[in-house]
Amino acid sequence: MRIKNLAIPVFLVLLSALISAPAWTKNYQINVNGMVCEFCAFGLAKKLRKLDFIDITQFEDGVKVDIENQLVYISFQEGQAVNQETIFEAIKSGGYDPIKMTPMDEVASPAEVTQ
Amino acid sequence: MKQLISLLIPCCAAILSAIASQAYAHQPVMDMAPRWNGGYGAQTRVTHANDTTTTWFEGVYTFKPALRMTLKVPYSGGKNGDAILAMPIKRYKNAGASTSNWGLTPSVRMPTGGGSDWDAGLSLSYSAESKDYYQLYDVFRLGDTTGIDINAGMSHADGKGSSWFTLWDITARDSDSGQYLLSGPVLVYFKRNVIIRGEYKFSVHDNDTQWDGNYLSIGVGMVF
Repeated sequence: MRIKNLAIPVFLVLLSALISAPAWTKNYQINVNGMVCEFCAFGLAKKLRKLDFIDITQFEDGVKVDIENQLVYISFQEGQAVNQETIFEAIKSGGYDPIKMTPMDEVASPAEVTQ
Repeated sequence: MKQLISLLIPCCAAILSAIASQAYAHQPVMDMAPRWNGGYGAQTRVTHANDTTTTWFEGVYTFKPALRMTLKVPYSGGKNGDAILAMPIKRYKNAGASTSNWGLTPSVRMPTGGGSDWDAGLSLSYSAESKDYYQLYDVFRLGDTTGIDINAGMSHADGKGSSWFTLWDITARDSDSGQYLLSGPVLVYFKRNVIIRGEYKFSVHDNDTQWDGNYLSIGVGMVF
């Protein structure tokens, strides 16, 4: 009986994690050197939003800038291949230097980013 | 675009080498932005000094982060003054939590105010910023005038797309007509792509027969 009582909530937690996981794994965190000014980073976000595989329903039109930690968060549309080269080119044309791109599920939780 | 740049650079260099060196050389329309390829912006400033109020209409276009073009047109007393065309060339260095750049800015002052003289100038600048501080140093030489401008202070970002800069300015000029030194606060506010800048400089030292008193400037600009 006790196992049954435990199993139901555990199952529900796992199920909710499975449902939310695919949406979260399409998001990426990018470390960007020198991105310390939001006025200057306006152009960087603008360049990224122009990419046709960005999911504009996520973050702030698909992109979120964190100048405190020099991070950019982007969201891909479902089923789109990750094209790091194109993204890095967009960041360079925005005047900054991208360092690395990491899937969000490896570095942060949704709550940490959307706060 | 490459053809345009390859045409403009030799043209600018030819003008600079051909005409007398008495001109504005320094001061970008906006130092921080637009630093992205194809970025552009416009800014209006109203300045008051020497009992004269001048409205400046200014524009900037960024070919690439290392190369911009700026145009400034003054309007005062019901007529246009001489427009200044400049080409800031910047070399950026992006470190982890800071960014800095060296700038070399050749410029040309055109006789759009009714005169016939063309003037040229050149400046060397360095600026650096982190999320907490900002500093700009600019040295220029034009004709008989040597000038130094310094802006340094703190920046305060709210993490939601807007920031305040509280800076202190030092402006020094030395020419045949004498020397003067101005100093005072500069407040800069920006939200997303809009920038507002106000500065008031007190006359600290004035031994210049063509300068008198303090300096006020208020401006608003947008970048795209």
